[in-house]
Amino acid sequence: MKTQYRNILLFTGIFLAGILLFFLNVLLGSVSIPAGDVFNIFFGGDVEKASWATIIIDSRLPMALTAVLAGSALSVSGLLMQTLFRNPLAGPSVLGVSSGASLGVAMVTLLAGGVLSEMLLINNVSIIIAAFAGAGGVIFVLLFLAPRVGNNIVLLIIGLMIGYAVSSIVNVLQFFSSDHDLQAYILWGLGSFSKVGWQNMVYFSGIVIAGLVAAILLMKPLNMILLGDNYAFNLGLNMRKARLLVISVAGILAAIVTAFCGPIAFIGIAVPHIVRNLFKSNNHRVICPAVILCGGVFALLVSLLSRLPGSMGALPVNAISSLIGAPIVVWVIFRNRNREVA
Amino acid sequence: MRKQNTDNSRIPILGAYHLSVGYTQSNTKSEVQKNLKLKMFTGELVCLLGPNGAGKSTLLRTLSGIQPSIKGDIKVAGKNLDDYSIQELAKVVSTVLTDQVFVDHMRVYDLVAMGRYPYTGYFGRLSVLDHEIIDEAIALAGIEPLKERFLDQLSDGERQKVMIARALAQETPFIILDEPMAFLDFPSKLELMQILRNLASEHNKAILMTTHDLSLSIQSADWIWLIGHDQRIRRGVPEDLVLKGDFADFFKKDDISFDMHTGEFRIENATEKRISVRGGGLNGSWVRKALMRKGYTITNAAKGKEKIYVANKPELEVTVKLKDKEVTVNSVKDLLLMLEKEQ
Amino acid sequence: MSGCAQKSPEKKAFEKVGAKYAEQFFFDEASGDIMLLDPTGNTTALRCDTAGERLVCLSSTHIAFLTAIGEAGHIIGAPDSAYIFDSDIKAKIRSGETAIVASGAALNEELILELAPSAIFTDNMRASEMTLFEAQGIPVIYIEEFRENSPLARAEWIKVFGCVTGKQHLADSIFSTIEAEYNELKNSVAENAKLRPTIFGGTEYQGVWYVSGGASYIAGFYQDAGTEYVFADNKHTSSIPMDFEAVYEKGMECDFWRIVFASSSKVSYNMLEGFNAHYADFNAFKNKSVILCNPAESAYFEKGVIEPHIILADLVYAVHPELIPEHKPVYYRILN
Repeated sequence: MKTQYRNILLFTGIFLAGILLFFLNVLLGSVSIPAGDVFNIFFGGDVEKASWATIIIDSRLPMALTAVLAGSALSVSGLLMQTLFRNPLAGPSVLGVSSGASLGVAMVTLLAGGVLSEMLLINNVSIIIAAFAGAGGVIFVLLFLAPRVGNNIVLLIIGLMIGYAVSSIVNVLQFFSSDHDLQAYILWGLGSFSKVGWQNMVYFSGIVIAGLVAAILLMKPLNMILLGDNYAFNLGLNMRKARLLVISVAGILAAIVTAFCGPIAFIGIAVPHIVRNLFKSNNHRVICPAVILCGGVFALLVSLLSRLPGSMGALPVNAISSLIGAPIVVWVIFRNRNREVA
Repeated sequence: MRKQNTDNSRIPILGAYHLSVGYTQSNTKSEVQKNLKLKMFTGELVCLLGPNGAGKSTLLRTLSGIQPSIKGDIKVAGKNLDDYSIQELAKVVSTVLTDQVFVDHMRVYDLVAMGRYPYTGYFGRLSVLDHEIIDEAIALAGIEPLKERFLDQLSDGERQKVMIARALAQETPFIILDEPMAFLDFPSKLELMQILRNLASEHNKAILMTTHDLSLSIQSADWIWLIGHDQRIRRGVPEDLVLKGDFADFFKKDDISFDMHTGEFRIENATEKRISVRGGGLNGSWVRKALMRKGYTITNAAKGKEKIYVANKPELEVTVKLKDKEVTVNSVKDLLLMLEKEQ
Repeated sequence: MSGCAQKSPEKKAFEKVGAKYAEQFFFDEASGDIMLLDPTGNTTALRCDTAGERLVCLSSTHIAFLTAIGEAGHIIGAPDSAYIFDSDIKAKIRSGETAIVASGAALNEELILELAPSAIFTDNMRASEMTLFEAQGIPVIYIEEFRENSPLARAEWIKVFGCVTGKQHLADSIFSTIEAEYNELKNSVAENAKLRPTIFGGTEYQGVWYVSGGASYIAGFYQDAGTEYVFADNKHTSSIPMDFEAVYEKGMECDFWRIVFASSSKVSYNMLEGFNAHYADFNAFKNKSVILCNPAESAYFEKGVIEPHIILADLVYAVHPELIPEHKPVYYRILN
């Protein structure tokens, strides 16, 4: 079949682009290190400066790896939610998962000196635990409500409302917190691929890869869900069970990334759209693996662009992902409109 | 499509006794229909007719297992509906619903292929046999030219046929369709009815559908089930229902009457005008139709006593006797104008 | 983790000897280490004389501390801050001898790695970004002087810098001088000031007025400068947001109004009135008794922390000029 060759070609092309971007991510940064030295660092040659090996191995490499995993996880999370809610604008932030994570982080960063900080350590680990707990709390509420509300749109609206409510609590916390604590919270909110590092890579990659495998196992139910609850039921799908599974996987993927990298916007919404347009398919047997691949590549591009501007360190990942992601979403919507008119 | 049990064609596919359907909301039950007794066999095409709000869709959703019944038993292919697992049921009943399926970037073939999901493995991989069955379903629904098209490039009628092909690919003995002809133009309705009739007769499917198209139902259905707001069901072969006056009863309203001869409803006009017409053939029959529409009651008259004479010729030639003269016109439009002026 | 920073989640037994004013660190008599408390109450031991000579600091106050003990020459990385006033560091940044390793929120991690620092001074806010360096064995010293709630406690953190750079005695003697000058002035004000004028501080922003808590660092200055802080009855150690009207009601009658207001152009009463016409209703405004600190004109946010005695003198000079008529204001002055 013609489409099959096209898909294989696309997969290969995107994969190669990903490899190239990965190398560029390792090669380029605020400290310029000659390509020859980078090669030597990996293949055991002499390096001009010892610190360069540290920069490559301990900073750029885990950062690029984090970007790939985070991009894939967010994109798959977005795909799952768009399919489940049959809404092109659904994404990890929509269900309130990101807001939940934000609340968790706000609790530990902004309530420092309060009751909570007596119990929690204010450092990297506590921020991750808090973000995960906050996101998990929202997922838990959604899972509790999902079997009790008849349809996905109601659930979507509940998710949005949870998001708004939680954001308001964060606003109140911000209002009452000191400049210093506020800065710590804002710092987290800017998003960064650099905080995972090797020390957390096992947990991060473990959970992300488990989530991605779960998403692959959900490809068939996802296709059925596309047709709506009734048709899915008619094709033999237990919607309640499927919905719980899809929300759990999407939620955990969004939660783990938000916990480690901060709330990174638009990758989750934009990548599934790019993939559907590129592969001209909505068959999850094709687009689910494609979204995993494209998500990683897209995040590598975001990571690279955020560090390009020169010597002044990285721009916030969240800003770059929004700057690239938002126009893509607009473009997709316009494209779809035009096709309907024609 | 593999034929199912052609040698023993009358297998009960559906039986329902003391069935109540409706909605349960926070412990209050609202029964839309109660005490229904239903029976259906393979090879039968049944049309379910009734006014909006009588519970046609609710009944279909209950029979296909989407929503639970309030009371009573439903037996599908000899087994209680409640005893089926969701996966088992998917191999027995397929549905074509009013739910709109708008999925971007979805090819017709891929959608029809989903009909095979009850039979495929964990990842939904299709075997060679699956592909053959999908192709057959596409052929039966008459949508081969659309195979590679995207769903959003289809007309409503085309999309309806795609959903039917999907149901066929599911290879179930029982197919339930909710308003499959809604939004279709007349030729598409005929074509669709033809396909469904053929599936029942030639492929021994049991087909239950709702529709508002009375005359097509009378022409094609083996059985008609009428349900109304009175919570009574009338079941019968179409012609029996016509002759027993059930239709006339059922849809009775002040200004609408059921014409037992044509099997059509007509808008009744209040004023009583009689007119005599002589002359038959095709031209005569259409002239009569036009006069009836204008509210005339037509009487036949002997030669020379008639008001209107339609010449028995291939081209239209109508002679109208007015008070003082006779006028001959060559179109129905002129005839109607003439009569209007006379009054 | 290696080097001098040793996190000990389980609190081992040691001899606690308190710092004189500071509450966020103390000394372990047995080992001679300085113990830092993080916001959760856990302690980190700092072994003395381990910071080395390649220092990166991520806050401009660290520059002031290090400069005071003569370690400025070892600063190889500094934040790109508009509030760096130290001309030596500025010159070193210009010449490239000192690198800019952070600008605003962005931290240039690669550059820090390339600099191969012997120690990094930062605060817990950036803890999540420090794991990379800690994994490399670079000591990260969390300086949390801003969590101290009295002027002398903040200045006492010079002892932490002194310890890690092996200059304990110098740091101790500098602090003793600061302490002596501060306390001498404080006591003289307490004895000689005839009355305690009322004071309040801050400005309105978007309808909200962040008011220093009654137990805060600023409130300490108010108390020691011989003034009556009108919001002293709340026991907060940080700023609390208040409605404009709540501040308006109490501030109206106050004798003095203290503001920290960064402006590159000259601040005037007209300018203040331009921001909010109600400012003109304040007594302190009408009587031209606004005490202004313009951080764009002084090193308030950099050196202010180790010169509490000068800040106190500025305030005393503004409120009770008769007590120290010879004083030349550095940070705060009466706006005229």
